[in-house]
Amino acid sequence: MTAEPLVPIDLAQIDVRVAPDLLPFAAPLENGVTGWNDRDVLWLGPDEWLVVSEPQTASTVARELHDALAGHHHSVLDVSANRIVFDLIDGLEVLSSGCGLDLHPTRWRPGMCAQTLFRKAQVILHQRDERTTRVFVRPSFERDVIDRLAATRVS
Amino acid sequence: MLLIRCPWCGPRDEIEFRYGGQAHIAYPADPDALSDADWADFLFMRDNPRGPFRERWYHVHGCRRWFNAVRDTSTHRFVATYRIDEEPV
Repeated sequence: MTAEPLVPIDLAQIDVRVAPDLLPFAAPLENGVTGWNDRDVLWLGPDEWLVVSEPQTASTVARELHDALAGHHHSVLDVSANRIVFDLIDGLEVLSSGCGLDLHPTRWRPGMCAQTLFRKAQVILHQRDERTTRVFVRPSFERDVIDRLAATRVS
Repeated sequence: MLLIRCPWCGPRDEIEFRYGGQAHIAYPADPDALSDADWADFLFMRDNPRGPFRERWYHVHGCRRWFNAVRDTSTHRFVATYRIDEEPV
């Protein structure tokens, strides 16, 4: 993990729940991430996904989803304020200190995501490439998670 | 720590889960027709076997889905886990 301070990234996050075959994009497999145009689609559950896109695009993405799913039972919610996001570089070893997931590179590969715990904090982990892990954390746990990551890195 | 296999997410630490009691207890078709004793039986009385027990579990810190599990109450070994819409094993 590099020594740069962790800076939150401003991103739009849209939670969508609907039957998988109705999605306007190919649904990612379990614990997986797919692309939809230039957006990331994270698997959260069998009928739930998180669309992550550039800041200020939440209403555009939400409208696209609403239009595509019109007439079907669905839910589209802008949850951009729900989680703070930052990118960890070379941070898997540090994350492993507080996370029960098997984050060894043979099991945890780019293009995977998971909702899990880092110590007591709920997090979503998204492995973007070999080195970069994107971490989504509830705002009230942000300080704790960042402090703990930094402390583990030092010791 | 126990490793519990969520039918959706795969194997996870037990701290990600919450226990939900005995599984496969159907809501009475006509609750009004039940006597107080039968209603109390439905609400409160649960099996307490020694050995394999079908239970509900909730993956609260993961996909937030309920699923069923067969757990051996004498060894805490999870014999199987299966989705809500799957047949009991």
